[in-house]
Amino acid sequence: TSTIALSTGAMAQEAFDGGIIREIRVEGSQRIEPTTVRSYLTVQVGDNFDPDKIDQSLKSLFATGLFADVSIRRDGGVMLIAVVENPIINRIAFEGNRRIKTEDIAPEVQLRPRTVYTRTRVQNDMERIQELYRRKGRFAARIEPKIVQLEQNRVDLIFEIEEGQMTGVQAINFVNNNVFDDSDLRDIMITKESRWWRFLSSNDNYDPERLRYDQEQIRRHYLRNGYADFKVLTAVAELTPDREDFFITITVDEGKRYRFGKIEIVSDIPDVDVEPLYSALTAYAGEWYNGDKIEESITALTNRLGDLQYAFVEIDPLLQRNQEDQTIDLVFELKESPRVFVERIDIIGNYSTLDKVIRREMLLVEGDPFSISKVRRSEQRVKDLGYFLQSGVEIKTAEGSSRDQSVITLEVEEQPTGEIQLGAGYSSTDGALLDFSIRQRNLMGTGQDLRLSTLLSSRSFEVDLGYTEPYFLDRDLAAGVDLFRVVRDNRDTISYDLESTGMVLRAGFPLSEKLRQRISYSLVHNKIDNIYFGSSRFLQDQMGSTITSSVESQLLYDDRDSRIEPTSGYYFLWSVEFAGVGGDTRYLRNRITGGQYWEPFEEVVLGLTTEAGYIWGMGKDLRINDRFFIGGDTLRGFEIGGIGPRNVPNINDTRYSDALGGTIFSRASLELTTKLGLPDELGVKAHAFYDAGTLTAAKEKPGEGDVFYDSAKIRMSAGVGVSWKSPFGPIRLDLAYPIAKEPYDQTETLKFSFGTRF
Amino acid sequence: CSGQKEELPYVERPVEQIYTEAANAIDNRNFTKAALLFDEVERQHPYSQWAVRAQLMSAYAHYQAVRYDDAITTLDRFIALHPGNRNAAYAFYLKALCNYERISDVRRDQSTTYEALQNLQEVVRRFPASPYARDARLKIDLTNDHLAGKDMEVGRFYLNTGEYMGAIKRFRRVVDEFQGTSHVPEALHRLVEAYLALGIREEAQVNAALLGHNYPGTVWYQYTYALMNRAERGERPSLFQRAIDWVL
Repeated sequence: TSTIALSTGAMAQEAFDGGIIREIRVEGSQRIEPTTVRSYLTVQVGDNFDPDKIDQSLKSLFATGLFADVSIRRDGGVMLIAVVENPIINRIAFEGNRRIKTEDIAPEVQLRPRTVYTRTRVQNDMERIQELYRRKGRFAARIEPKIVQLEQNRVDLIFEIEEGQMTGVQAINFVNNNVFDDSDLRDIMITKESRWWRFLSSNDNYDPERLRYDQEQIRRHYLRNGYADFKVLTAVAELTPDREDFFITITVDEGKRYRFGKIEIVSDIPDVDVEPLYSALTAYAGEWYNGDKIEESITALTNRLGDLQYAFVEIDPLLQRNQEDQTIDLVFELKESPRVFVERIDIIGNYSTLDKVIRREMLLVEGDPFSISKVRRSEQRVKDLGYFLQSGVEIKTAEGSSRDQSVITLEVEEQPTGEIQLGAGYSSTDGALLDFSIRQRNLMGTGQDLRLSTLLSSRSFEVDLGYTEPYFLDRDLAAGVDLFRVVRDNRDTISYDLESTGMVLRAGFPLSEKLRQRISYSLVHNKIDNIYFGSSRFLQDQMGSTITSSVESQLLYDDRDSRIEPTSGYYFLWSVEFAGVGGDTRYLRNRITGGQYWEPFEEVVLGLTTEAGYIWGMGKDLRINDRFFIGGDTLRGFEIGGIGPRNVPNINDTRYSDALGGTIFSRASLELTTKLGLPDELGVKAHAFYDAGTLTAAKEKPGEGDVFYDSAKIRMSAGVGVSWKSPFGPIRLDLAYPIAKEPYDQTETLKFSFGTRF
Repeated sequence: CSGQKEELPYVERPVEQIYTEAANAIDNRNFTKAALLFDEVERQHPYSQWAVRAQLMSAYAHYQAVRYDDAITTLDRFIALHPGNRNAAYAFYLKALCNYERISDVRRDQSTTYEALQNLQEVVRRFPASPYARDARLKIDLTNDHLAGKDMEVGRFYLNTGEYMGAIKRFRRVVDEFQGTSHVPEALHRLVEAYLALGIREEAQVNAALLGHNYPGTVWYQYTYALMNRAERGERPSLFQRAIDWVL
């Protein structure tokens, strides 16, 4: 008899040659039945002693992971299999973990009580725990497995964890950079150096994945600015000897700066006329080389060709460097790509979100020509929904039923889409305020948005319930309904309390990529009450309830690069509201708004917004709260309703005057915004502005014993402000000085707001 | 959930005692507790004869307690350790059930449906003569019906959004690959709709004939019949119908 181990094929050759297996006997199995062991063998009773097959059997027994050792012997016609079973885990425990709870570690660990213990599995689990700690920024964490042997071949497994300190990034240094200095490059990176103000951020923890992303961002930054030969030579993260911090050193090779030389389009496809395609290019000869422009041009060319029914085109940019005049000639080569169609689009991982909510974001439909750029953009659109983890959205493509068919599989990983916000703050118009909102952005997976928000301040109470279906009836039509109630104590500004309750039905749809139409109907009940006893007789007339039923149309053309913080582009908004579809009031209100943004220097944004409005009573008296009021945010330096028609009820006491609102207004605002060279993530910006505006044409006439003011003169103000996107909500402080005003205007020099609203 | 704790206090006890307590818990329909106790049998006495049975019982208790993931983990272990056990057919079948019970509606992820289908097919393939195979065959039909429903759902989405080629691909798949399912008549009718919308009269005609021949009594055939007649006469839909179509 002889014993073989896994790799002793040659020895087995001699020992097992010839003869027939008359019996297979299993020795040493305790828990695992001999039949189970036999089922993993590739030989059975009656077969020859075949060394290859026996070797295979041995391997497959080891592969089960059930055994610590297996050996096969021969005793005459008997095949003897001796096994030593791996122990079974009795209990798993974690010790020393404080920062990550046991409930959070346990699911990551693959071993379970009652499973078979193997050293490989323990090793894998240690790595998983280590990874958990790395993600929390604790690179110094050490994990030690301890094993307690129990009777019946069982073990208790204890992971002893030494968590160690947070590993921050002490410094990020660059070597060989001449064009951009260290701080420019640090601004591009997401990884940040640890600083006291970053106590709420985790970007100052070292994360190798993030560092890789940062390298790519730096590379793209250089490529955008003409450095076509740029390379990151090394990016090294060194742990300080105390294992608490990292030093990151990035060595770069900037290379020369190039301009675009000749730009050509060459087509391998016979009947494509390249001449008209040149207008699609966004890269121009003579400009500094820019990698982004090449990408943009390829996208534009692909789209243009798609319109011309060339669906299967691949575009390769060929670069030719001319060292003597430092230019790069660019040839876009159009080649026919394989004719592949989309066979099927499968969506998986959407346990709560409906299939169609995701499918409608796909720019490809089953049966379409396959296009990798459309796949990428679709992936981005699905990510932009915000229903899924950014890292959890992944598109895979595989060959379908034939070579020209491709199956696209979109895998998503859902994340919670409910939000609760609680805010507190202070603003000069509302006083102290408390803001609470609860929102579900993906209501039961239908993509519908439901939100309830309330605002309580010392002068007002607001509650608003809004519901939106973004694709009403599967069309690109966002429809929704709002219900609201506002109770406002306006006595300080316009001398009365206003209670407003109502609902709005709205629908919006795109007319083109940038032009959107919105139509809404609103029914509002307004109640004016508590008019100050000594206030204007015009105000006294307003007492009581009215019902306004109106339809409104809004047309928005938006070419801004961002809605929230635009730096370039313009927008234009035209709205017309007609009240008098039933109800007590009747008017036609027109309003035009336009804005333009420039970036004259880097990190300096200049914005110009203008607005004008006119309200026509259509033969009926216009109620004061339907009229226009400007001031506050719309004309800084003045109170809300601080300019425009005014009535002083008592000629002997000019301290009291009431704003009546106007029927015509116009205003303009020029504002310069800069980050003051501060790092982006601080969120601090400085503003300088110049506002101008006028509000006029009240219908009232002065009466006996009172004074009536109404002047169309343009008021102007200038000022400076600072805003901070603080972790607790936005804060803004404005200091404005009225340059041109009327003596009766009400001014406001300092304006401070803190909380959820500006 | 009965508010039962996830872990039992660890006390070494004789195997019979734990097993009896677990069996009693099953009788009292306290499945969460039963599962924990059966697991305890296996944990404390992995080499006893009871451990094999306890494994299967634990899977059953987990299944009853609607903890399908735990049940599947236990069953996978049972299948790996005792593939030749006389209860192996039941283990395979129970695993299929765990996935089958979790099938979600056709508008959402269908990976468990595929999983269930594969498990059920495995039961039929491995144990064709067992009583479980009979039920598995029935459930395979229902699962296929569900998968066809998924294709119908996607097809209808494409039809609604005017992507007729995409819609046709999905409905074709229902007709070709899910022949016995309840969705075929509707799929044929939708094919007629899609082909008419594309103006391909002949294809619409072929599918309408197929529907008429195979499912003459269905409501879908009535719809198709009306649709084809209107198309035949070259009639445009009424003004009212067009207004509704435009709005919807």
